[in-house]
Amino acid sequence: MALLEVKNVTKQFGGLTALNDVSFSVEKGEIRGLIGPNGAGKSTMFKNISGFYTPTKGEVVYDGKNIAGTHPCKVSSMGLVRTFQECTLFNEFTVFENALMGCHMSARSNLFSAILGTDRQRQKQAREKTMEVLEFMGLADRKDQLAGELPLGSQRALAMAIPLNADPKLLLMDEPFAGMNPEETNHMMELTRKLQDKGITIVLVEHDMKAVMGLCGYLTVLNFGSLLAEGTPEEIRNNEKSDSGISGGLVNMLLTMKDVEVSYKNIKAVKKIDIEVPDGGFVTLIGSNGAGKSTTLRVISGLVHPSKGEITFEGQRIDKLSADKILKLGIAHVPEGRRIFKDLTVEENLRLGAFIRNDKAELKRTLRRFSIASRVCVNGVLRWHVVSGGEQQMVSIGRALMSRPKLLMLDEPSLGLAPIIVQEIAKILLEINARVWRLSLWNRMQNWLWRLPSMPMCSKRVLSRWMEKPRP
Amino acid sequence: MTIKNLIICAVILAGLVALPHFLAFNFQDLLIFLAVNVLVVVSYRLVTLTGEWSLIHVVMMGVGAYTSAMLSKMAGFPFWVSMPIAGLTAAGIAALLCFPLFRMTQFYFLIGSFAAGEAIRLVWIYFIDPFGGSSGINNLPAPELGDIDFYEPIPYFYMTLIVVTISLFILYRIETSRVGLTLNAVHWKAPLAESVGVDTWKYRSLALIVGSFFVGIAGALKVHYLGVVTPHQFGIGVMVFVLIWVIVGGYATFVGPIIGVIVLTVFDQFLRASGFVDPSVQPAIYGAVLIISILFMPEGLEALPKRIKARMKGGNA
Repeated sequence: MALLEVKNVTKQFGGLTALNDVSFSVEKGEIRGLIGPNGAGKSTMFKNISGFYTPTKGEVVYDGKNIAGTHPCKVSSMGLVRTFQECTLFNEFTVFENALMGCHMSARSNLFSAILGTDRQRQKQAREKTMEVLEFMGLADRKDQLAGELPLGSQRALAMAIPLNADPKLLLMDEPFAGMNPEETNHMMELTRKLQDKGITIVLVEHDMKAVMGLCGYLTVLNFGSLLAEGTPEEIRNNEKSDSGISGGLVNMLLTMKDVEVSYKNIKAVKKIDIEVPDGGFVTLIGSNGAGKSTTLRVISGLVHPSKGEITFEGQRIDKLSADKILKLGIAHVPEGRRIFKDLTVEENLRLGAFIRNDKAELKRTLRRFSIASRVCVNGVLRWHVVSGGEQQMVSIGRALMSRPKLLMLDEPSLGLAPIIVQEIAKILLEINARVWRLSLWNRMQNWLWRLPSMPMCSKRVLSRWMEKPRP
Repeated sequence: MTIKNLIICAVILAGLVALPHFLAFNFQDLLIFLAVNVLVVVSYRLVTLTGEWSLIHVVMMGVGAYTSAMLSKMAGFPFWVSMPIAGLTAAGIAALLCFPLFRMTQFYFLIGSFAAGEAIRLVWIYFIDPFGGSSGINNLPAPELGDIDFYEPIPYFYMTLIVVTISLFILYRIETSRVGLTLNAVHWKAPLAESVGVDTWKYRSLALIVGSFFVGIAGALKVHYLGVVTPHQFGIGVMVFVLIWVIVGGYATFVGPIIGVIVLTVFDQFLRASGFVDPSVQPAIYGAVLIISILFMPEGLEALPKRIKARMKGGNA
């Protein structure tokens, strides 16, 4: 018997049809993958099922009852629990309190029992159950830490512990693997399988195809709000129709360059450049000296203008825009050789990068976060020349990050640095790429990048081009 | 509550029992109002736990005050009956107001609660027949119990102290229980709370209703000592004072608002006693205190010891 049946669900926002007559059903005990490109309507589908939206048309039948339009808190009390796309936790609570909130349905107390303490037994049971869940998720030894201070992997685990404690029959997981490294992904996959063994039915939305293919027995593919295909992973993989849909969803191009040519007077510095940078990707430009790598970066950031071709960023032509406008669109450039203001303090240098921002409080937090991540002391009056080379590089990267870019371009970030510091910077870059802002990074780093142990972390998104073009 | 906390509470209570005997008559008055105000700010904190700051709290105090005043004056109810009914009436009216008010959140809720409060206040002013209009109701009877004279400040203070202590204990129990945790959860991430089955509307309402119950009792305590109840005792100006007490004291912990109201009341008395300042500029000084405390102590007075400790540690390192 099907646990969840979605029947002809249509959801319209004004004139826009986000979901168009979608039907599918999920059997008890299975792990179902809901995949499709960005904007296909996967999250909208989740919200329709969990009660955050009411479908314009159609029914959502869960456990034999139509729950379309039921309030989310009612839906979840019936055992249909969702997780959130972003890591959504009570950051101000401890890990234990977070998980304890999960068993609201089984352990909630009314006002009088709270005052008189008559439900002590039930609260004790709730606490024991919470401890079990925390142990299951491997969080028992962190139970008194504040949730906001946990490392990302543990936060994801905690985000799973909360719904788990709510005794779900059906768990809707929204991108549980987003921003995880392969090790964390494997761990999470293992946990998901364990949940299945506990008899929990799972529906998950995910872009990480490896995880989806590995976990799910059956896939439902959405595209532009309609059901595109259904089948086992093999069938989907061999299905041409869905193939374009999936790959289109994985790689959303942030920046595209078409046939770009730049000339300095009569010399063509670069010609015929076609490059695409995927959203959230990590692209490396490699080439011999004079191959035109720096020029390529300069032409994107608007320092020089192309004589031919077009550059689009998030669907907007930018090849005629000035450098400051391009920065405001979200492209930051770290030029070669650090280029810092030597007479200013570290903090002043960083603040200059935030010139286009006017959110003081948030900026302060960003500065602090930077200081923690890079281990460069931001406070105080450290003059520039006191800071070491590696720290200088970090500050110049930090300065570029201060404008909160969507695309970060680094020109030779490793130049003249000791290998150990190079490693350090690479680690930070990968971290930025993977978790904090999900930027696209575009480096001209030399082959040292390939030697890094942590490199495979973003290998699935790496798109490299060799540009061995001799000067004319 | 640990044993250490219990001992601290006992010492404070013993101090409070002894305190009025060392004070002049007008300060004994003040002590009663201070105790009432403590109950006002602590019950207000319960409302703010869900993240919704209302401006109706002091009007709810008025609802309690008017209920108790009318019951005792017109229907001849003894104070001991009219006081709990005052709390229940305030809670009941709050429950009715939840339906329109919690359709809104945040800023809209703030303005909506202000409007609802003013509407209630205008009813008191407009309908002279039961409510007495602008001049309110006077000559309220004091409580009666054996041959204790509750027109005297010291017995009245002890009675207030008992009621307030019991109320604070109940409010503390609520806050530290699972209900309190859920209220906080509704504040920090309402969608996540809903996703595990918390009815956020219900918990927001619960906070407002329970808060109103206790502030209704506070209202009854206040006006039966004064002997008079008027609409102007519960205006927006008084609400602003409550906000200042809570913000200056800090609203992250249970004791923050209590510290705020005590410190500012003592500060106020010092200003008066020093004679430098004309009483008419008192609101200006309060405004300045609020601005300064938000600028330099965003977490309120309660966070001061922690910050001083951190500063000392930083100085040594």
